[in-house]
Amino acid sequence: MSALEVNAVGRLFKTGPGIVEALREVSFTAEAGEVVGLLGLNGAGKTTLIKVISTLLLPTSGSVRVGGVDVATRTRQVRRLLSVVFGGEQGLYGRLSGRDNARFFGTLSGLDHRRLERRAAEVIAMVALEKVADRPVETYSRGMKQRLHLAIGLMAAPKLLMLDEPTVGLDPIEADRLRRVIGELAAGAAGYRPCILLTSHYLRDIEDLADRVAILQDGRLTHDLPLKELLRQAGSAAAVTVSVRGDEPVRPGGDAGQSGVRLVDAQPAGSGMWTARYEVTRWEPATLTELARQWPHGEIADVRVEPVGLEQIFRDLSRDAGRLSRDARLSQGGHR
Amino acid sequence: MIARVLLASARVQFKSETRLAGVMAGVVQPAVFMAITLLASGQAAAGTRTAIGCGLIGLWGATVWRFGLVLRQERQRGILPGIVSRPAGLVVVLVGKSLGAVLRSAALTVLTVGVVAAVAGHPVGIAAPVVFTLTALATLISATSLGLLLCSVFLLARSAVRIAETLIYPVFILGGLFVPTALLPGWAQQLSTLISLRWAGELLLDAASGRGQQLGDWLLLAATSTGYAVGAVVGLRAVLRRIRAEGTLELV
Repeated sequence: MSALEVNAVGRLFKTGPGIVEALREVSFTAEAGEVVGLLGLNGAGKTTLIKVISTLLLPTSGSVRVGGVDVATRTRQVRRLLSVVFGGEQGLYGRLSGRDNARFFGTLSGLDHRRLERRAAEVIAMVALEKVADRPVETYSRGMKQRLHLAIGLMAAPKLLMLDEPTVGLDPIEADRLRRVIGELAAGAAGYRPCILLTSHYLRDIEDLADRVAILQDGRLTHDLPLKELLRQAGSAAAVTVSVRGDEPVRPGGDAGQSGVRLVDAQPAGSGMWTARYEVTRWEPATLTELARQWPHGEIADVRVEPVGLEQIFRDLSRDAGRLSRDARLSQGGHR
Repeated sequence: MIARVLLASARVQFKSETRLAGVMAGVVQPAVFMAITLLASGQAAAGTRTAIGCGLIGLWGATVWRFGLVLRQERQRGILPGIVSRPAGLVVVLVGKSLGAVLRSAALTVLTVGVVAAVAGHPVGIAAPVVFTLTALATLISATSLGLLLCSVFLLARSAVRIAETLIYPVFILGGLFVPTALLPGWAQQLSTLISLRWAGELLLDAASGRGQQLGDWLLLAATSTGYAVGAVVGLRAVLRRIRAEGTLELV
């Protein structure tokens, strides 16, 4: 039984005269111990999906099961199995201490008094808030509040933990700290390995933490595959910029083929210099030899290699999807 | 689990309130009404009835305002999703938190009424304190169930404050808290049988003056309060289901 099964989920919203289709036939599964990154632009349907899974919204069609339990019909049982952490500074009692907040939400999750105290101390330690645990939350920094959110989410040791934009608004140091905590959690620091569903605008979160990536675009799930596979499918591991003194390259651009090197463009840079850009499917020592072979009458003066990250891939995918959506709309308009 | 959640919610409400919370409904309003009534009547006999009437005015004001405001505060703080998505559920938390807020206000009301009555030279005497305390407890439960019934309206409507304002005075009048219900027109007297505070007021007055308790008043108090409670549970479930189905409420 999967920790999470999302099966052909659709969700419609009435907006005055029209209807918005926020989710369309979304299906995927996630297992215990897996970290799934849910990526998408604003309005792609990420938060709607999180709300459906966390029982805050009913799906219009399809079904969602958490640990084999249906979220639409067995709400109370599902709520015992999951926890959702929304990002931001909201959602806490500012006049209460961090420990009191954790205790209160732990009580709502069904923890008894003795377990409550022990668990509150454990999760507060897990997110490194021991020193400020008894201070009012209104005195916390944004990063501390975010870590407290995570601690509260862990109170009931959920089988499914959903993190909605956990690093939003944090400075780089706090974001790194939070990523480290989530990484430790995924590795079993809490004594078990929960299934984690992570949405983020920051691709760094996904690259650092996720085992798999699911991409939502206009409410549809367009990709669902392991992070490494997504990077491989994107076709290039690095972008290489080469400065060459001499004549223009002999080989035209085109598919990388067996050499793994594809010329994107080459422009004269003055004083007998050329600047050429290549896409490289795999970076290895032989790649330099292959680059040199492309300039038989030139001398390579400089090579700059930039690994292609998820951000670039996501940008490309979004651009492709945007083009497809536009084409589809034009096509629909033409038929009317 | 329900008792623990109720207690924890009430405790959180106590701790998270400002010092001045509940002062208007619990102190200012009953003090002003009581002073005006005592000065106008000048009769010692009216003292106990006035005190009970003003106490119930304070309780009803606190119920309407606190239930409405607790819900609004939770929404503004972005806490509703964290409550709704946990197994305890929204209803128990709302009851606990609102009860916490109303209890604080009710304590202030009792203190205010006692002090104003004593200062005005009409100290309130309670002939049957045990019965009076039990009746006061029943009154509090009744007010809570009425407040909970209003919560479903507050959940659906953004203008909780306006609704609260609208509801205050009709209940003051129909509940016999301003003037005895016998002085109301026939149709209003019939409507007033649906207001549990009317029966609570009669029972409190009987206990304070040492008269025997009327079974009919108890039955009507129980019937109206049960009606509110059933309506509240059914209404809140329907509203929460509608919220999940339509996505009309922005919880976050």
